[in-house]
Amino acid sequence: MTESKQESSYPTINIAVVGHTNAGKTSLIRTLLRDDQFGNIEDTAGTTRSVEKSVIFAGDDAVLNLFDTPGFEDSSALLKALEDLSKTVETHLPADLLRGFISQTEKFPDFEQETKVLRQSLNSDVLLYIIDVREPLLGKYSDEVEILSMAGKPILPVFNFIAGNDESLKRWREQMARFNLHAALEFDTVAFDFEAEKRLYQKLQSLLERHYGTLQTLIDYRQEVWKGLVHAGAQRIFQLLTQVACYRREVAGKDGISDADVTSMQDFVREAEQLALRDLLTIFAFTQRDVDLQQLAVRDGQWELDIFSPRALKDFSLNTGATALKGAAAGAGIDLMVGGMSLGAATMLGAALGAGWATLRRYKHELVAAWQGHKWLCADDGTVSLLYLRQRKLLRTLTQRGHAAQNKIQLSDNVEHALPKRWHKVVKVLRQNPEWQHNKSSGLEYQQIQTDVINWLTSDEKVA
Amino acid sequence: MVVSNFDKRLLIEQIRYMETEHPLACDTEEHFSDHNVHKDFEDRLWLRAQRLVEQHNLSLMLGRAAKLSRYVKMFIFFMAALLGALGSIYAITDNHTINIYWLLLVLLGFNLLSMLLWLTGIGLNIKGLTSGMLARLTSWLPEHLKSKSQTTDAGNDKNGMPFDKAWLDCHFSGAVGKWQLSKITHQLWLVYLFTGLLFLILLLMVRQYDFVWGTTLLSDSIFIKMTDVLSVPLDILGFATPSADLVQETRIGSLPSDTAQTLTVEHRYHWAQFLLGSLLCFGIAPRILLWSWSVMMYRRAQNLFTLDHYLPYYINLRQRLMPLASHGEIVDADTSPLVIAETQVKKPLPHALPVETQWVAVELDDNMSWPPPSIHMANDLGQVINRESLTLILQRLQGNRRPVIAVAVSSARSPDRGVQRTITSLMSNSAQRWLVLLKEHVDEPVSSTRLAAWYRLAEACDVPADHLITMIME
Repeated sequence: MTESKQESSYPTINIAVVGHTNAGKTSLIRTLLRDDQFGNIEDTAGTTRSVEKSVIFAGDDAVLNLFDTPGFEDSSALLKALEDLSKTVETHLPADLLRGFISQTEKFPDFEQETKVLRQSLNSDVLLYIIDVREPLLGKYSDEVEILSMAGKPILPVFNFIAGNDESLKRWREQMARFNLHAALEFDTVAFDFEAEKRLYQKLQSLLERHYGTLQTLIDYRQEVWKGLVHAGAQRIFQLLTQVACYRREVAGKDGISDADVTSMQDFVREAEQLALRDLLTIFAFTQRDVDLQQLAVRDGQWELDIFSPRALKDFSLNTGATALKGAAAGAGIDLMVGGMSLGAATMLGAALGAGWATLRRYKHELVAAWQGHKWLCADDGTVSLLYLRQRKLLRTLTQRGHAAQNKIQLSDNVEHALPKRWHKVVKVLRQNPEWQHNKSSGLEYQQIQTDVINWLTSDEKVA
Repeated sequence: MVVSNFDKRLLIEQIRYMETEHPLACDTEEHFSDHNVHKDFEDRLWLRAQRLVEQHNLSLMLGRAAKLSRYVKMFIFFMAALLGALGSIYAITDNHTINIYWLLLVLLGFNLLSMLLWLTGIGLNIKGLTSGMLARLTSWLPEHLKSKSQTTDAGNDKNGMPFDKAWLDCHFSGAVGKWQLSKITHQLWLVYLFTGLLFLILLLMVRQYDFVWGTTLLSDSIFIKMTDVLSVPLDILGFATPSADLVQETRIGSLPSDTAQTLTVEHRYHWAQFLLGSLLCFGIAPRILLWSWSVMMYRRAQNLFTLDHYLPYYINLRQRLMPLASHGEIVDADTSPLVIAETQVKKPLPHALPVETQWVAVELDDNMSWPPPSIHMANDLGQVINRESLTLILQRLQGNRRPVIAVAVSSARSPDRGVQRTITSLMSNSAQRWLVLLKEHVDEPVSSTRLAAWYRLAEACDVPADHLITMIME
């Protein structure tokens, strides 16, 4: 405890995010903050024109101060001005030259933006130098690095827009090595999962030995929060699956299942999925912009493909049976095997002890319905399975922000269409316990199923 | 006043139930997300909940369920007391002879049975067995409230139903519910037994009863033995208990009526003590033990009661109340805001370049090779990629008197101030200025913002509109 207290008393780490104009400085900060409201991003030079500070916290401790700076626009002229200045002023350290330059800003009105970058660089612990690797290796970029190194601060080059640009990335790596900048980070504002974020902090750890512990605290904290989000997402999906699998609607016997019954069931499923989608997007703080980036079939918080459309089933290579299009199944009566299983040993024992009415009560609707010749309408296996696969894919895309951007074909290839081994058994048990639809149960079996489904949703292993 | 963690969480849950149905606006929410407040997430939730209660005046509605349940509890305690009193009175007032074992069966038998059922229920974790009617009522009530709140929703925006349901769910479900119901069950039986005992003492004080026992099926020795066994703890506690002879003598018809008269004082005293002692020892004492155990477990369950932080509602609030990052503080402001002049993007008409045009490329993309075959080597001054190349080209230009200059740039790249300065210096001494936007191939997409930026640059470099042309590299 004392150790962590000491660490938290360390000053916050100041990070200046610098680079050429339009290299993606603001994008990097947005991604790190997981906040797409930060700053302005535009396709023209000089979008960011002031230095803006953001703070990243671990709990209540401010750990990082991120400074978004204006981009360099004319580093060659700036370097020339600095060289001219060095001839007139005598300085010991290159940083003094920068300070000297900053103190005479009125002489260099053209460099108003650059002066802000220099001032912030001098006041920071480390510089993140953002590079758009698609750019050619121009002299102005070398000049930027030369100017920045005068500040005497560690520089971490961050390669942006790396997707599909391996050759350029290699050239840029060699270029940075010429400046003795060997530790660098590959980063893609679109393809950015937690592991990528962690790598950034780890690189900073190696550059800022003094702040090693603080950064570790931050990594651990962000990891914990991230795990929590993934778990929350999976739990929400489990809730949706339970709602749909436990859905039942009594249908009067003689006429069989009418279209109105089926429609009402379908509407229920659609609405439930919609609510879950909304919650998942909220959990991961996503907006339509992110949804577009991830190439998700979601528009204005609505799935573009209806769950009951034939294509939806086909997309996930699920067998399309005769009833599949309607997604309805005539309700199972009392499945004693499953019933016995779901009632659990304790209740069975209770029944044996003379509290048999608990069993009776559990099945009273079924018994009455059987007697009256009524039937149940449920969501069929295909619908529940499709729901599972679709939500699993959604969760994956939301958590691994980026496979979409690195290689566009990868996304659909990446999704496995296999259901877990025990899947159909679980659906059966859920269907036999309609009371779970709205209420969580503290029963062992319910808890076990919840744990299993959450594991299936979050585990990375391929299921047979 | 110290508020227990359970009460804090209860309030937070009540607010959650309400907000799930009708979102409530919180006027000072930013305050709770201030990292300087230094509170953990649940404290912030609690502060926010308190503020909401204050702001929306919810305290009456919040307390309704608790108040109602207090009334219900008082009523059923009263009923239990009444039953206990009536039980005692009816068991012994109809005549002056009390059948001792019958009375014990009446007063303690059901109690014992219910205790056994409760123990089985707790042991095997069967909800239905532990608290019988109460459990039924409490599992039915929330469902009932739910359907009721759904029907009344339309008319009333803020009825307190969600609060009531949350209160019931928190108090009567899960481990808290189990021990809460157990606690109330034991309390009820205690009230019943105490009033029973009290009325028994009162009746025994003011009236005279003869104690007898009898059996049709069982042998006498069983009763004598049973009395002996039951007396062991009573003896230890100092109650006067009947001896074996005395028990034998109390058997209906075992003594001639004249001797009965002489023995009855002792009989009565011992049997009355036996009766009261049994009630205390086998009825009240175990119930008190079970009750205190339940209270203990109830408190423990309350302490272990947690909020499900994984619910989207809480995840959302965490993002708002405990942001991972904050932003928006400008530390080095822009003093001269950028004014972007509106430039009309018009596709320039193709125009013929003079033959003697001198060509300079500025910062082309890697995949564009310079010069293209269409330009004669003699007319190419080279490409500007750094300061050295610029100086070289400027030197070459100096030998030329007022040349026609065409500067070629990649239309897909975005011009910056450096590019503009470079182009201005290249064109400074020229007779004619041309800006050529190179495209790799005809279909290469160029965003309109990029194009607009090049048009602005052309304007700034005094390049006439009809001297701004596009050229395909293919």
